[in-house]
Amino acid sequence: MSLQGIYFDHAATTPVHPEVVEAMLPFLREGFANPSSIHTAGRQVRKGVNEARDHVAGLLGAKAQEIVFTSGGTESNTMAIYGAAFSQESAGKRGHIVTTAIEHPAVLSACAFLEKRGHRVTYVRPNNKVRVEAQSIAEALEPDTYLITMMLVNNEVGTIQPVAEVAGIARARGILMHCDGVQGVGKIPARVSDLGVDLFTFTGHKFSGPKGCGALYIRDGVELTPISAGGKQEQGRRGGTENVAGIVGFGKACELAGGNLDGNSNHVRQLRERLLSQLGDVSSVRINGDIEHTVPHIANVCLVYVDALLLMLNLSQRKIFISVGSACASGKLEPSYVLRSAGMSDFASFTSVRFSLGPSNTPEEADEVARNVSELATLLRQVRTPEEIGQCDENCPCLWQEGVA
Amino acid sequence: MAERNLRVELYLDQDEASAEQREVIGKVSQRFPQLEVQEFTLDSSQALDRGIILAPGLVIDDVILGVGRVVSAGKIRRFLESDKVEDENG
Repeated sequence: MSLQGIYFDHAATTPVHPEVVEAMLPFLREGFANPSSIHTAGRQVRKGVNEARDHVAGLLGAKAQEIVFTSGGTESNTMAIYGAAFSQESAGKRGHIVTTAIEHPAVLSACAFLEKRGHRVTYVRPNNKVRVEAQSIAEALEPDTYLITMMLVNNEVGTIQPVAEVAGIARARGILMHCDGVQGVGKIPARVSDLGVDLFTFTGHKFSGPKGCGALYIRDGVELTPISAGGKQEQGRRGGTENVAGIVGFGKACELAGGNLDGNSNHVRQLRERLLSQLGDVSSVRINGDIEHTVPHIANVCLVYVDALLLMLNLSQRKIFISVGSACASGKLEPSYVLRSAGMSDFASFTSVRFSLGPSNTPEEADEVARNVSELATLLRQVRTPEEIGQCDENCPCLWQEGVA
Repeated sequence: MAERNLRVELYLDQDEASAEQREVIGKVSQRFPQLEVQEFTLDSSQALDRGIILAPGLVIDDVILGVGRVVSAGKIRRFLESDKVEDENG
C-alpha cells in the first residue's frame, strides 16, 4: 500500500519519519525481550525505553519520571480525567469539573461518563473566534471544582487556547489543571513549566511518530488513581507490557520535533499563506477562527456555497486529502459541534473544510490543491444551490462581520 | 450537452430517499439516453473507494454530486450541461 497524492490532513495523523522507522525496527526484530525482565536481553530493551522517555520528557521540559507512556491521546486524557475523579471518589466525594465545549470527544466523553457517576461538569463555550477566554473559565469555577481540563490547540480549527493563563487561575485556587496538548506538541513550543499544567496529554503520531503510543505528563507530587489494574510498569500508574517499538519511535519523533520546531513551523506557515492567498483570489473564502492565534499548520476555511463533504470527496478522487468537521451520525450529516459552539451557523459548518499541512508538503502541492479546490468549488456551486445547503446566518461570525450575509 | 456515454453510479439503501433518487435518475435518463446507470450498495467496495457513507449517493462521470440527500433532476441537468462535461466531450 502506498499513499500517492497530496496529503493535507496532518491534523488527523502524519507520515512516520524514516528515522523513526529505523529507530523502531531493531525493537521489532532482535530487541523483542520484555523490558521488565531482569536478564540481559530485557535490560537492553529497558535501556531503549529509558532513552525514549528522556527524549519525550525533554521535548516538554519535564523530568523523565513525570512521563507515563500510554496507547495515545485518548487513553492519556481518560487516565487524567478519570484518575482525578476517582481520587475524589476514593475520598468519598463527588465534585465539579470545568472543561470547554470544543474539546476532543475523548475529553467530552470522559466528562459525560463522570456526570453519570454524580460529578458535575460545566462546558465553557468559546468566543466567535473559536477561542475560550480565560475569564470565562474563571467565572465557571465553583467551590468544589477539583479539575479544569482544556485543550492547548483545537483540533478542528487550530486555535491556540490560553492554557497558561487558565493554569494560573487553577493554581491560585488549588485546582488540578489538565491540558490535552495533542494538536500542539511538535507544532508550537509546549513546555510544561511555561504552561504551568499538572497533567498534559500528547501523542507521537501527530508529529511523525507511530500510532498507538502517547504519554501523560504527571507533575511530581500529583496523585492520580490508576485506571488500569496490572503490573508495576510505569511506576504502577499503567500496568501492562510496554509497547517498546512504539515508545522508541515516539522518543525519536520527539527528538526530531524538538530539533526542527522553528524550521517546520516557518515552512508550513508559508505554505498555508500561499494556499490561502490563492484560494482567496478565486473563490469566496472566509477563515474560521483567529488566524493570529492559530497553529501554523492548520487552516479551517468556509467556502461559501460549496458543499464541504462533496468537495472533500471529490478532492479525494483526485488524490488530494483534506478533512471536514461535519460528522456522519445516525445516518445523516451532523454539523461541526466546534463551529456550532462558536456561534457559527450550520451553513458555515457544512461549507467548511480543514487543510492541515506538514513538513513534507511543498509549494507546488499547495498550488495544486488551490487549483483543484477552485475548480471543484466552481463546479459544485453549479449543482448545489443555497436553498439546498442552507443560508448564511446573519449571526454567523464567519460571514456576518464582513457583511456578506 | 454531452454526446459520449456517461457513467452514473447510484449508491442506494432501503430508504425513501434512495428510491426517490432512483426515480429521478430514471426520468433524467429519458432525456439524456447517454447515461449508463449502475447501482451499488453502501457496503460495496465501490462505495468504500468513493468514500460514500450515506445514501443516496450519486456519481456522474467520476464527479461525486450527492451524498446523503437526493440530487434533483434540475441539478443533474445543470451538471450535464456544465463546462466540465462539455469540455471533456471535446
